[in-house]
Amino acid sequence: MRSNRTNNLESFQGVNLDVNASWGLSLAVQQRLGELLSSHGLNPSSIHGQGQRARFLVEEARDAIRKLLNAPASAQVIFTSGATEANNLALLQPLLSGRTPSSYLTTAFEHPSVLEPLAFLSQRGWKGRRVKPSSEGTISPKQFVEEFSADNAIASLMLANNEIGSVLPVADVAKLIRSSNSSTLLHTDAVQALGKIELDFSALGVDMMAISGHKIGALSGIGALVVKEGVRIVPLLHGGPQEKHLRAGTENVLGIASFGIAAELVSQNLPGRIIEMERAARLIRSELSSGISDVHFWNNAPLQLPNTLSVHLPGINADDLVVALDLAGILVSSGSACASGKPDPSHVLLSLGIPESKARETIRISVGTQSSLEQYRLAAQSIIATVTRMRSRS
Amino acid sequence: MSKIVVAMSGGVDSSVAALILKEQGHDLLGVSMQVWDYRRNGGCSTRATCCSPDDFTDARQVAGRIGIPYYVFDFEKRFESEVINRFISEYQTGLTPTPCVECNNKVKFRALRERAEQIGCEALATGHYAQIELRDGKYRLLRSVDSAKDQSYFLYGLTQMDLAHTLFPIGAMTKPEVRELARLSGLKTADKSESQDICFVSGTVAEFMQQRGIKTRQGDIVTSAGEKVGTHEGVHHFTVGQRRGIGVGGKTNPLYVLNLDANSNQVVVGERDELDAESFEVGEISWTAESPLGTQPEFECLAQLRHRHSPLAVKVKQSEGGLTARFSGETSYVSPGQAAVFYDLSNREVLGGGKIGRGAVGA
Repeated sequence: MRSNRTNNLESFQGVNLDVNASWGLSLAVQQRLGELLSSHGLNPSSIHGQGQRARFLVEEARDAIRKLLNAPASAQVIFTSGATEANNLALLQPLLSGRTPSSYLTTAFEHPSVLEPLAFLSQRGWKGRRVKPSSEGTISPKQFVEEFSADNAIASLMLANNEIGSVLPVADVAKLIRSSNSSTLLHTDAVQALGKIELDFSALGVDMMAISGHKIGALSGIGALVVKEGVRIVPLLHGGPQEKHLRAGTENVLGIASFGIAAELVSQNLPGRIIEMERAARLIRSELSSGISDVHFWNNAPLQLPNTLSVHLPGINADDLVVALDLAGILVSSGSACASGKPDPSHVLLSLGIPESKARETIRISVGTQSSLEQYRLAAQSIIATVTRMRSRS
Repeated sequence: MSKIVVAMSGGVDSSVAALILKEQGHDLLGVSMQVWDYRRNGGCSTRATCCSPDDFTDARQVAGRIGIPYYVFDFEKRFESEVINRFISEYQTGLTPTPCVECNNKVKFRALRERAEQIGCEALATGHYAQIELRDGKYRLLRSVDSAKDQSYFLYGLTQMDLAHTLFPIGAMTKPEVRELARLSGLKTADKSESQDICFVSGTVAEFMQQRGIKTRQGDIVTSAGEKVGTHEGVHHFTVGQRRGIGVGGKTNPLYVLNLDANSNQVVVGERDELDAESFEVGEISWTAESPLGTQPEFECLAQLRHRHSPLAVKVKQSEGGLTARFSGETSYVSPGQAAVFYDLSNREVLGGGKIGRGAVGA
């Protein structure tokens, strides 16, 4: 019954075209968690058997995540409450380690969980620069490094943009920065790249990487900061010795376990998943192109996530379309999610030079692998019908 | 069955409106209207408001409890241009605005309904205390059964088109009944306090005008004979009929505001027997079903001249700019800018209404 649906993903029967916001708890993860619930202990620090079992789950999850990232065993995986905490832990390092304020470098279209901790540094005397992306939504290594200065204590560059899906040349940037022999900490927010492109933590050459569980089918409320061997981390949270003294507090065992299971499932067939997402996105793009006059896509970067479409629909208020589609059982988003109901135009689209009026007519479609190609086609048809109806009424 | 948008303010009335429709088996969704940024505009957390972020949290929770989808729609720009700007300019020109009427006419039953249509919903429901009845092929707007809570005064601008697509699910209930139903259903808004009349004014009107950068314009307070008896800090501090806070002492009989003259920037005061009007002009007329003047040159009805005012008998006829209403029995003062709403002689049905003009004729 659709009318009984509230915010309960469990009973959600529609089509999720908003996996960049949340993949939703994957069925396989749900099943395995159910089995764990009956048997696991809650405190990995306890000496007894239940505690040992919990400890085992946490360490298994850490390994599964390293495996998904092709990260060596020497890389630390610090579990956090989510990617926001991971980004904060990374970006506040210059402050936490007590450095004299100098400068930082980032881009204009990062997620707020990157921009805001850096703005916090700015309030405390740090000087920052935000590199603007090109109109295609990318930043060339040359462009980023031109803005780079050796006294940048930290540089942060997202691996893939959440709204337009452009994949940024993090590895090339890392090489150029390393060749300058600076001691700059290099951080990447890899939340949207995880599970959507092949990742190699070592090859990327970054010092730190933030990832999130619910973007790949785990529970929400779990994330991690992955840290290269030898990089010293000062904790945000102080207390017990958990996470090798880097993040105090009893571990979110269920969340961590779900993250591990999801990572394992993604690792098993990442190339297949990528192809599946690519097919679905291509199908939706071609359906919308032929069914809606003057539709336009803001996905023009040389490298793109396989699943993300940023769709400009002239004459359509994106917020209304999101609601109308929700009522039809199709999840999409407009700009960045905002709980207050007063959505600002997307800072990502604005940073590409897209005017505010067009930004407000843009929705984001991001597909996963949960639905069949036929369901995605029907969803695209439903979008076309809704847009057509809305245009005829306005 | 068509889908219904229920406007949810986060208060008990709209919560119960949603609950009733849901229990009747309607397909509905809850929508809160973001009309005013309480954070940016120095909102007040100690005072009962509606449509603040906390109220939206309540509305969202009620919607979740009832089991309906819930969204927040942004109408700030529309509210600013249609309600706030008019509110300010009317006060500046010596009128007493009725912003709830503008909000209903231009925002709630216009902009929200347009967006409801955009998302495929045919009807709009609200938690107003008023009733709609279909009689002789016309939709009739009636007072609520709870005369103390009746809000039909603010709804006179609804047209046949509006009424045909509007539902007032609690119009046939009293406030205690509404609260009781909310309590029985475990809605957290059951005992929530009442919101104030003007949702965007958290202190006094004068403070609001000051926050908006409206400069005070000092002027004279004069009697109807032209004698200066004091000075004032701007005509927007006053309303016709006001007795308290005029700031003129030493008179044996209490003084009332008789008139606000924005051109000369004068507040005219006088004694009680100078206050009442014999007749008054009404403009911006809206008839709910049809104009009673279509078949007769004059008609008698009851006129309610402000919120919580006991309506008085008037005879209404066409005039140059709209209508002239003449008290046929007891008289009252009238505040230009306020809504005059005409009810049938049984005081049950709204016939129509408009805004009181400046041309009130004194006794």
